[in-house]
Amino acid sequence: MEDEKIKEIFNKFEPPLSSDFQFMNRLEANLRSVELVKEHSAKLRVMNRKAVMIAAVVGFLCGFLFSLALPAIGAAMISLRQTVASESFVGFLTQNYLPIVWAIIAGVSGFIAINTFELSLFLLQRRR
Amino acid sequence: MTREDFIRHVEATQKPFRRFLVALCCGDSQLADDIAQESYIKGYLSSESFRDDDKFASWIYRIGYNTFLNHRRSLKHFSGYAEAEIITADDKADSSFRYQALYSALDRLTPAERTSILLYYMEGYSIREISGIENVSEDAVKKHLQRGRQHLKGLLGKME
Repeated sequence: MEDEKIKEIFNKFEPPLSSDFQFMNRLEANLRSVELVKEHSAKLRVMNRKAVMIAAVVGFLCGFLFSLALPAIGAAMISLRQTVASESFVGFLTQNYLPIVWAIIAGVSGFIAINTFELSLFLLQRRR
Repeated sequence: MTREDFIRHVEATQKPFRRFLVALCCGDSQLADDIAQESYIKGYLSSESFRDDDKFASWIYRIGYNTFLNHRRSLKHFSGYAEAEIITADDKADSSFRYQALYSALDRLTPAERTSILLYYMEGYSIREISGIENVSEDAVKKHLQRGRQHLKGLLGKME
């Protein structure tokens, strides 16, 4: 009984709403904005991917080129080792130069890669 | 789901959905429309992965309910019916006055109780469907309905 009464109350419930035309127009405008934002985000994702690839290639090339200099660095360390005392700090460095040089190569390559990424992204956005 | 399919679903569901939201917002039709707009936009953003066309209505009601709850949480001072009364007083006053007792009774319910009552009695959803929309157990929905009916008893008395 009670259920029927409550159903009847809601069956008669017809609140005033804004026109369907107005509501749908507003929604269509909002959906167009959403699509614009989605399109823009998709283009940004493509540009990001391109910039990352460029940065990765440049970083790899830098690391490779610096690594080619290793034999020359090694020869320099050997000749330096002969002139300094092995107990001194410089002597210690000449005996353990390899990890230090690799760390420097990695750091410099990484730094160049990050800057290449930023620069590529900027240029790709300007070109768009 | 294509954009055209989505618009077709919106046209089929918008009127009852907005009517439900007006009751949920205790008469604040402007807020109800804003929540309806936001719900449909959220639905549109997720529509690519939505497959079950038959369940579109219950899906959008679920989004609407969650959007309503988020809105309530974001408001620092939500006075429910009192605020709705102020907002609707100047606009369509006669219609708002007609449902004043109903809005007042609904405002006494918690959002979950109000939603359960509206979905069950106004929209005709089953307890199982309501539990899916509100993301609670069926027992919880039954409790909401029981408490909601008790609160609405006073309203039934006034309207007789």
